[in-house]
Amino acid sequence: MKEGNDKNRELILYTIKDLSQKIREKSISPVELTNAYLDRIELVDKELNSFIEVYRDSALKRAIEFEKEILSGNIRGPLHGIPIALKDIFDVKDRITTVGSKMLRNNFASSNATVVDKLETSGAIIIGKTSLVEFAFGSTGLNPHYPQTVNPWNHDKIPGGSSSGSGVAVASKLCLGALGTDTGGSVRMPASLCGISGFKPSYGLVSKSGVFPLSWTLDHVGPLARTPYDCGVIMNSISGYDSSDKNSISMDDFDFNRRIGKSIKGIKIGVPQEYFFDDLDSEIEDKVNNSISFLEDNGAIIQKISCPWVKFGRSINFIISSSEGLSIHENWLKKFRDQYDPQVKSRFLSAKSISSNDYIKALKSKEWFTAKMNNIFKEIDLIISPTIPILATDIEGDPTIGNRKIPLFTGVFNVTGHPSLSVNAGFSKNKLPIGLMISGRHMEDDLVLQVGEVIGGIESQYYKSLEDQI
Amino acid sequence: MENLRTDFFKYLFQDFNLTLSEIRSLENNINVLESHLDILRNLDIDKT
Repeated sequence: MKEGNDKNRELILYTIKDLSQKIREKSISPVELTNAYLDRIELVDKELNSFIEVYRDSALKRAIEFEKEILSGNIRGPLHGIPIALKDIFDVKDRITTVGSKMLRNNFASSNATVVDKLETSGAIIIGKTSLVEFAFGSTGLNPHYPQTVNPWNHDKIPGGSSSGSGVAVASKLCLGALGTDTGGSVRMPASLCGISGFKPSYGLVSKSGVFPLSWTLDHVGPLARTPYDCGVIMNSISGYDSSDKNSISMDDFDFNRRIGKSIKGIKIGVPQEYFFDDLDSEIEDKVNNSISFLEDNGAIIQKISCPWVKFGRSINFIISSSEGLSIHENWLKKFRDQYDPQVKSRFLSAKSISSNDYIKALKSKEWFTAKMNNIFKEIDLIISPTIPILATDIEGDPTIGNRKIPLFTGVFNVTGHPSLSVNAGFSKNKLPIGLMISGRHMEDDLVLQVGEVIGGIESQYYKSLEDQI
Repeated sequence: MENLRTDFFKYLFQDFNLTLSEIRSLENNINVLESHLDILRNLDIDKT
């Protein structure tokens, strides 16, 4: 039996899939697992700054309760006893939700977000709240109100945002999975830049009740985890109809991992000939093409697709999210005008130049754009593309470059509401992660995760060889 | 058009208490936003 640090090191290397089996077999206890993660947070997060608040006492209390349940044979499911973190945009009863801002530092929540209730019912241990871009309005992960969250692979580089802390915490093995929100790519962008999996499910499958909004039309809730399979485990817990969210849809008794492990032979995967590959870093292009070849070698049918209209997606996303974001923040921008991050304030206020006609045109264009995408999905099952066109930029560099280029691809699938996954496809020569995006038809989230899990295995040996560095 | 734009900035300057550097940052963000608006205004969803 391994003792002390060796044992902790072993514990933090397991995925949710590994651990749920070991917890069920009672070979690992939720208390030792939670302690291992809390110790690691204390050890390494001083440099990474991925957590805004760590729930040490309540996490350990829950771990002790769950250990008793498990020892008595009452197993709730694969998340029972698993430490999970939350972007600090989700309400947890009697805890503060800052939404990454200065002005909400005393904002105690009166009740749990629906997804928090669902995680707790599944036996997950909420280990703390992670950092984010102020009010989730930005792509780089920069936030001047808190110690800067850094990319775990190179501390001078941005982690991506807005769910920056969730991406860094999962990649650095400070938790097994985390929740984020995604309006233009805020789950998938940090997942890509941190080298993990991030999943934006079909619109409506996960409740947004108790989640601070940015854009009611485009906001999604989704998991970040080490593998697509682990994302599926979290999705099985947090999805389901919720009457308190008017956009919620029902998909009861659905197993998001039901296809994982099955052959991908015959699955038609479309490679867009426009937009996604037009202005791409060459190392990213190489890794994406390697992954496409790998899928073809495994029996997938690779098909070139033409979708020149896809270039409108980013603009539709930008106008809708900016308009709705301003409408949520306009009164606060006057009342608390000196407390906003100047960059975020400026981005919100720029939306003052959008007219009501422009907003309505953007909403109509969203319907048109979604119909176009649905037509593409009549020819193919999935679309594959890079997640982000550039590698992680410098924290000290010009933030406008990151904010302009990073969300170019991801926001397309917030407009359409289709399920979309970012999975690690390898690393650059400078050891920066490269993400690949797989997107599918509405309610075929399981197919996206199935193919994502196949990709996730390609570079796993290389990934493991780098793990000791973070 | 330029006058309208100046009035727009004057309004934001007074109403939201912006500093001059914030006005410059805002101008950059408005340029980005207007490039997206131009794309959408030129999109004919009945023909495309």
